[in-house]
Amino acid sequence: MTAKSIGIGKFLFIFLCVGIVLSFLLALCSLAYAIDPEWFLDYVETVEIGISILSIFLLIVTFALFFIWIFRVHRDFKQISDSYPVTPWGALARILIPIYNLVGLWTIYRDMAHFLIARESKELRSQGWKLKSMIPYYYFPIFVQNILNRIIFRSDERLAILEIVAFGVDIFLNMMYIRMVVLISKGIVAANEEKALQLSQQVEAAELQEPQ
Amino acid sequence: MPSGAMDLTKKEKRIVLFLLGIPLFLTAFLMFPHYEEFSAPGEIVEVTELGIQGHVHVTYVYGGTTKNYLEKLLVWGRLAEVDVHFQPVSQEEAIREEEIEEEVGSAIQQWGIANALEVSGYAAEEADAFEAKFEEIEEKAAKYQGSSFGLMVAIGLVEEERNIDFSQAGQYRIAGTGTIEQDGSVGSIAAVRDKVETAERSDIDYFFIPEDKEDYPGEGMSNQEEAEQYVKEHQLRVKLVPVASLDEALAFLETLP
Repeated sequence: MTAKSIGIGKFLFIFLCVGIVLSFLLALCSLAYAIDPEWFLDYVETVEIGISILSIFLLIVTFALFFIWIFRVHRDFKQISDSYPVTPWGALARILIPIYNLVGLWTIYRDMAHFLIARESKELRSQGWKLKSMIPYYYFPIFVQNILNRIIFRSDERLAILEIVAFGVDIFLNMMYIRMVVLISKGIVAANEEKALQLSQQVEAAELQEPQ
Repeated sequence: MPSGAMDLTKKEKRIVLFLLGIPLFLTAFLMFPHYEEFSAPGEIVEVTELGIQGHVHVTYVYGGTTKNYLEKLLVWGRLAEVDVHFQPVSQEEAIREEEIEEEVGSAIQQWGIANALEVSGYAAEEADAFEAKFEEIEEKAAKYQGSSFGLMVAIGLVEEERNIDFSQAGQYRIAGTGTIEQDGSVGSIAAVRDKVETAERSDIDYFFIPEDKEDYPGEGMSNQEEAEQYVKEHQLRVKLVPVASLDEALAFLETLP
């Protein structure tokens, strides 16, 4: 049995890392503006526009990868255990449907964590607990990020310091996502191995019980 | 950062490079230097907004230079409703225009305002009032570029100085375009089509344009020919009034029933 989400998870991991680098560069641009707006206009503005555009395109690809990844993760979990409570399409609905996603963004990872915690392997249980403990650290910054971005976009003046804070939150969120992608990917690999082991043990037991 | 779970195979590395290449390619394309001038219909503004107690209107249009496809896309998005058109220009030409605008743009506008004040006879005997009005107009016109509002500013100043209402209590909506020279003659301007279109969209009854068929300083069609052709082609309602001088414009306004 192969876990289809692992490959996409690797791509997502790399895009999130690149996202961190770009957010850091944009924070530096905002800092340059905060320190000396004239110098910024002469030397940094064009670079900032380029990085911003690149970030937007990168974000679009990252979102696409994320949706594919979350879909495949749920398909993998369903393959490991039919009793897994969320279907792949259900997972996408939890993320994409407004209002519903206020709950969905929390429960989707909570269900994954509970699934891992319920496994027999100590390693899987440990990963499940780690995942569960991370949910608040990813969930609440999403709202902080949203509020900061709204304030920045609605302001008539450029709020450079607030931008730096917002980029800081972006970096933090990307790091959380990276950690979760790694934990979930490792969890799927380990759960797959556990299931394969269980199956082989069942086969061996069945062979022993067969009449000679 | 854990490495084992995230190690890439050769095939995966190629896919990642391809995926990263998409945003990079699109960004490079959008940021690639490509210069185009743009122009689009704008709006009309009563001269009161320039601090003049008159009833005629000046016309402004949107215009400028985009330096890459991203800027073009943004301008196109912002002005999509008003039919923006672009014209490719060389990088040298675009930079030269920008330098000219930076160096003498405000001087050209000041010169236009000073001419309008002088030829309209505004506060001819009172240097302080002349100076104060100049500063007021200059401050309020700072958000606009160029001096193509000269003729209409001069007409507005005549209204204020002589306490006349050429609109006849709002019966007529009057606007126009054209620079005003020291001798009271009206000079040619840029983007005349967009200015006529702006007048049409703003329900202007009479629109002054430079009468420059005979002495147009540029290449190609004169303002007058271009405006008349545009009105004819698009069957516009606005009535064009070509004038060679401020006196001709005033004479026309005084004959309105």
